[in-house]
Amino acid sequence: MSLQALQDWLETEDGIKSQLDSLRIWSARNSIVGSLNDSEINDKPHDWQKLLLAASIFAQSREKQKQEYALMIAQSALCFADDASVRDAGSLILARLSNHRTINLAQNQKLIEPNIGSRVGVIEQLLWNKRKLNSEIVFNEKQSIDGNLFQVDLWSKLYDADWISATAPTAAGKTFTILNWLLSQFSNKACHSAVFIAPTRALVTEIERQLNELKVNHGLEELKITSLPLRELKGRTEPFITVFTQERLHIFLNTGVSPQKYDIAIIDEAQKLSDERRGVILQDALERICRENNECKVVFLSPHSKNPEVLLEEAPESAIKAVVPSTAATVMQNLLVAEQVRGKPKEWTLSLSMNGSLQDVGDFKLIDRPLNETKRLAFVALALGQNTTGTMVYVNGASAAEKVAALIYDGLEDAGVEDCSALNELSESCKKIIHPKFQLVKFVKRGVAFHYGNMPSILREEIERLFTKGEIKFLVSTSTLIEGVNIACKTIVVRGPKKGMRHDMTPQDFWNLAGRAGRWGSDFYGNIVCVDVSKQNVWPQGLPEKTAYPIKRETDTVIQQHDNLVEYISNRENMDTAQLDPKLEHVTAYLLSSYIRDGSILNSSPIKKISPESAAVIQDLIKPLLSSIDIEDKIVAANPGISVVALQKLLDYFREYSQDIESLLPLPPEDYDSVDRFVFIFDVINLTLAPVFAPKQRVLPCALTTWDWMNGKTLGRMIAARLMREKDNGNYKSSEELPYAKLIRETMAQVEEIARFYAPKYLGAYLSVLRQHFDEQNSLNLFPDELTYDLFLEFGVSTKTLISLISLGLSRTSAIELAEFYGRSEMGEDEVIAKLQLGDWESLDLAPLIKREISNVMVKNKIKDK
Amino acid sequence: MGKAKPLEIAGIPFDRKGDAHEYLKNILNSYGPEETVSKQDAAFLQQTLDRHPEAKEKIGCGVDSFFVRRADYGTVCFWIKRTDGSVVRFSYKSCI
Repeated sequence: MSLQALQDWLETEDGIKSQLDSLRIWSARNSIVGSLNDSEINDKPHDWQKLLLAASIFAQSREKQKQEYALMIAQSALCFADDASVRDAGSLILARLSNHRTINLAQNQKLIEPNIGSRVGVIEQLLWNKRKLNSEIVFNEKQSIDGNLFQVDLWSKLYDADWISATAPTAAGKTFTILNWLLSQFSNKACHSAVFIAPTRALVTEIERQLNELKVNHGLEELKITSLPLRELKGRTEPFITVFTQERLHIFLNTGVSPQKYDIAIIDEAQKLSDERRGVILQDALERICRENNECKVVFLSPHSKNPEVLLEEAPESAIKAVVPSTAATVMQNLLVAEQVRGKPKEWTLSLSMNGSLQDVGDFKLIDRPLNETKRLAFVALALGQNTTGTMVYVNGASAAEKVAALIYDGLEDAGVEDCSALNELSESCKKIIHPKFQLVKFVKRGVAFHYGNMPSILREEIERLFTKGEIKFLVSTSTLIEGVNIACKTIVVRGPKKGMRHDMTPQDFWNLAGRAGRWGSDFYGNIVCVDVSKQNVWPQGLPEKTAYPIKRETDTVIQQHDNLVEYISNRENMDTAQLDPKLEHVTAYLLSSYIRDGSILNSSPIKKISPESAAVIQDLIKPLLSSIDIEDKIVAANPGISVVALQKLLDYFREYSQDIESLLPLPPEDYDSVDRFVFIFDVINLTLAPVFAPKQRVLPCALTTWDWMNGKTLGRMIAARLMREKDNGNYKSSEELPYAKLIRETMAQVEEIARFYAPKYLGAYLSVLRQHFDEQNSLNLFPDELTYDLFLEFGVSTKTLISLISLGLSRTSAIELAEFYGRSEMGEDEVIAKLQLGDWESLDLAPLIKREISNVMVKNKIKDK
Repeated sequence: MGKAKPLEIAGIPFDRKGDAHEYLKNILNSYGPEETVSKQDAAFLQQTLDRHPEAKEKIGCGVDSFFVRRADYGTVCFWIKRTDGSVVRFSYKSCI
């Protein structure tokens, strides 16, 4: 019998399937027994010898399912077997699977004695050493890690290939590997500049922080790592890494005149190329990078994709391509179903989903009657998570996050949470930075927090840090988690998950989310608890089947739905902005832009994938659209997502405008008429480019938010002002009646969506077209040189001093609070450093988190108090 | 209550002032700020403007076109763009 045949036979009924199944249920029960009512486990003896032999046979397979059997047997032995030699044997299997972090965890938890390599026989010792060597990843002379199979594969392909597409779930350690590889390229002087593209600002800050921490181990203390799209970086002789969102990357590429030739581009969460609108912007960003440097090395990272090779389709012909497929899990995952016992609302059962059937694991009791849907979710999470750490609850929106957190907080009333200084500090900071009535102020004191996209990063990062440390035990989170925040948990509890408020979650999204259960190196098991699965209205598709993401570029999707696009382009010329379809408009803009650049769309990569006839139809429709365009080419290239037809409409508006040309310019925020001017400009944008600030009643609030934000108003003050306005409007009789949570949340959302996303994007386009108009009118001397509104808005500041503080590594919140005490607005980085060296910031009345951030920045930049 | 006075603007009869008011308000609301008024609506507005107590001053050197723009406190109103490029707002309420 061949090895393969033996492996196949083992997992059949004739083999040891029934033993594998009963071991699986036994280990699942053992792993969560602390949370269940009865802690008695039916201890049937397992035939460890047979099982471990099977594990060693499974471990030699490259098939995922078989490797997972090996992992399951090894971990069950390691964690729950009575006999020390069985536990040792379990860890040897793990070594075969290159899972050294789990072995270390077992050692730390004293499940096995240390130095297993020296306790076994000679042959096994040799094998042990060989396996260790094979899985070793050497970052540099001083530092190496024992990688898992995925990491080892990724590391070697990163050296061999030019275009790489790697796919693996959160716990596989892909970010850690890629960041160390990137830094090693700098320490080997193989690279001068690199860009890391992440989909959200939250992830950008996190990657920037990680790189700054890791660079020290590579002897790269001086390496510039930044997430600021500053013009000075271009043409810089010293090496640097930029970490950007796709939007910020465009801002950077648009600055100055010289092109930026990146040596390496890493695209994290590359499945986002499938996203409506943003997918097109990302595609465009990537194409821009490759146009500037055809030899740029490109690495795509995605979580568990079905077709990672698709991302390599557009590589230049000469490039060496490599796919790094995902390998078996590194942490065992239990997919569990929590259901209420019929007729007894407080009594619940937990079952393990295994091969399509449910196996009883145990039962538990809720703290109180679950009178509504929110309570069902919150009470289950509370029951299962109160004796442990790392419980995450997934909810479908920011307001639900606050409600669920409130219920868990209430439920912990008698739990007697010890006084923790980090939590008190976080609470104090929430009070100062947001508002004393912000709910986290009290929740975090009991180790409960919520987390959503629009929260300021300084708080969100601290919440993530304390959750990972175990100080925060419960974290209630929205779809920000799927959007890419690198945070893992022990248990994730979900009930009828949606993505955003409306869309049902795809099975792929569900499994991406579930991938966060089980922290490699911290947990042996990860639990995914699905609540009320038997309710059809809650889980219309039942338990989501395990499937991988199919990646399809949004440009491809839209262009292949040929008829819709053709109809849209043929009507485009005479459309009002209200008739624009954002999805089709983005792709239309993309095609118009490629035509302008290349004189044809036929060579653009998504068009090459459709039939020549269909391509010709689109090309013929596009040509006449461009006949009356006189927008400069570089403006079209700099504004992805905004079609040249819209830009021309704006230029036509300027040409028709009969008053003083200078009254088209925005005014600095300190000017009395600044808000009115923003209102005017937003009206013009609504009319010509896209109805992003429509309807007209919304323009003033949008302008005010933008103005406040750019004016460097702190979030706390913006929220206080909003509360005041609501009270003055007479909608509420007293302060007590104000819906604080809602108003606070809404203000945060407006800042993120309007001031930090739409305003910079569309103001940037407005100003570039306006500049062309000034030029045509021979009035360029009247156009201010330094109109970097996109940069100011992206960061919510309007002075050089603040930009300098942020570029040292401070968050906006801290920069603004600190700059309140600084008299000068035009300080460069050196001057700011000199000021910090004086040390007087220590005596200022600043939130504790802010002081800590300043002190970290001082260490990072080696600024010493004088 | 006084009897409603019928009136006629550009050949369109209105039973009472309120109706004319409503008609003009609908035209105003059908445009976004900074949008130029269509030729058809412009013809109607021209005749409305003629009824304005300060029509002569408002018209000045002549009307090139009408457009909608913000006035005070975020409200919108009709504006005249004159043939010399200068602009001035006018209130349709003063014309009825």
